[in-house]
Amino acid sequence: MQVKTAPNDRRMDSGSRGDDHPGVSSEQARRHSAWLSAVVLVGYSVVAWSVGSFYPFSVFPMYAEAPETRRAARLGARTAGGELVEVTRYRAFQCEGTLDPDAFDAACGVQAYAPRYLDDELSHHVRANAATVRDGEPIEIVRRIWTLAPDGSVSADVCVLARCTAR
Amino acid sequence: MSGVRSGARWHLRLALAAVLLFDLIFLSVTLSVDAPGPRALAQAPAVLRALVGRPELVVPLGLLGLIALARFAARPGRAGAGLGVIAVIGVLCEARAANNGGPERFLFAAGTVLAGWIAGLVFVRAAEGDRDAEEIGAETGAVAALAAIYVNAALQKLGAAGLGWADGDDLRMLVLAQRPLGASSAIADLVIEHRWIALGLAAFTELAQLSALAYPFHPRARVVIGTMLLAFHTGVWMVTPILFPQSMALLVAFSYPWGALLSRRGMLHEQPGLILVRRLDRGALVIGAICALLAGLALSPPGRSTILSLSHTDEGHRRDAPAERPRREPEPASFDATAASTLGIERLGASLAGCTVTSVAARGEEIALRLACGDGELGVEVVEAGSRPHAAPRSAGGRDLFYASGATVSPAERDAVLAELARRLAPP
Repeated sequence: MQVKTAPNDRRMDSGSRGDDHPGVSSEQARRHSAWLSAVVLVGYSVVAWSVGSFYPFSVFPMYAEAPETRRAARLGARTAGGELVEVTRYRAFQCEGTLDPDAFDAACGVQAYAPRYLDDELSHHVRANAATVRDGEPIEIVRRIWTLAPDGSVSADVCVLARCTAR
Repeated sequence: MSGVRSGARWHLRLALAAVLLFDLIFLSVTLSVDAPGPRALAQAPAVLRALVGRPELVVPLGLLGLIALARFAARPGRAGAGLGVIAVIGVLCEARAANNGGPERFLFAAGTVLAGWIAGLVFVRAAEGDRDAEEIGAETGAVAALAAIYVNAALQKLGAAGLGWADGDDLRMLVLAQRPLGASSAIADLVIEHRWIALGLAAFTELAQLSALAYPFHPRARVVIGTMLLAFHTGVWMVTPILFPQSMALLVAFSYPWGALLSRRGMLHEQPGLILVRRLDRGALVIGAICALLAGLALSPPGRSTILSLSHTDEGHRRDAPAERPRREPEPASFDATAASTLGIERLGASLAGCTVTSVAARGEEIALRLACGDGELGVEVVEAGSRPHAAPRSAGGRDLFYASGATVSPAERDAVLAELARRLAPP
């Protein structure tokens, strides 16, 4: 794109102050800067919306989708004392039952929002560290489910997915 | 000529380069040590999946990126070096995406800003032919690209959920599902317990991201909008583990008048921070030679087949493609009864998850198993748990299971075999 410029004020001012460039803040320079900004902003967006996600282009859709349910869930472990902790606290698991993120909603009887990558990673941690565990502690792999009521209150429940010995 | 000098944006160029360097190191290290993930994309290009857990490939690539980055940072106007950085980080980033089941967008911010930087630089070079002004245009492009991140994020939210995204409940569910169990955060508790706080924060998020539309066009408002976006990132980090450090660093660099501060201190044109980078740049040939040496070693390691022949233990990460299948000399069949018993295999020719066992060999504490699956072949290595630096795709009974060289079966067949072996190894 050819941009006509005047000799004395042809440089674009992107807004940084403190540079020794008197005369740069001319109206024409600002117009050029605005043009360039618009071209880059629109150009990047057009490419990003076309390709979806291909480095360095993305429309950054993280967490944009509204969940279809008013329930949220997270996979965790419940100790014998009833404390809910992350499964990553343990390094070895000997479990009765398997963990399949696709089956969590059905196993617990309710549809709940949980980031899929978290369910996958936490389940994988349990599966990948399956071993014979001696001197471990009894735990339950659970899904903590929170329900958001129309009045704004939040109630919590726990669904047991597997019983394990872990250390 | 005005008093603008080509080095007047060195501080922004260095800040951008520092964030890119972080990404480059992060990607090189994590890709080198990663094992195939549970969410690996089977349809991803083989060349990307081949990088996972392969430091002999990743490190030379990372060094190439480092050379390009040093060249970009050392002098203004180096669009080609910048494109090289995007290419290298892009390959590493997409390889990680292929292994992790999707893109990790916190790694995109610096690449996006660099793309804008290059676009602005090239625009000014083409339009004005004034090399002194190129970096001013580069900054303009970079600022616009940084804004594009947030504008697009806002448009995504509006497109997917409209203004309903800011009803507060979505944010509360996000916090509940993301917050680690057992973690305590008074602020997160407030957001969860009080819908109106969540509603306010969600509305602020939408407002801050939409305000980014003005970020490139109004330099004075940029300070305010940049601060709002930083507050948004900080707020997210305080109630969830979600952190975008690269985006935050870039907002700090591009939103505030650091040029004025440096100018007052007489540092804007002294460029003291460039000394190290320029030394790196001068050493680029040395780094390049090391890189070439490493690449050569990787391609022709003594006593081993080449990487190009896919003969490494993790070649099974690659997408099945008949043209890429290695030509392997058939190994003599062996049958170690003790090892076979461990795996519940009675004899050669026994069936295992739809495949046929063709060899069971013991190598010290390790068991090497070979199977024929239709027209394909699969090698499996059963080793002591934790004896290898990589995370195993399957573990059971105190042993790790890896798929080994010669894998020319589908990922589904491979996973079925590993699952069956894990079942057999698991304690009753």
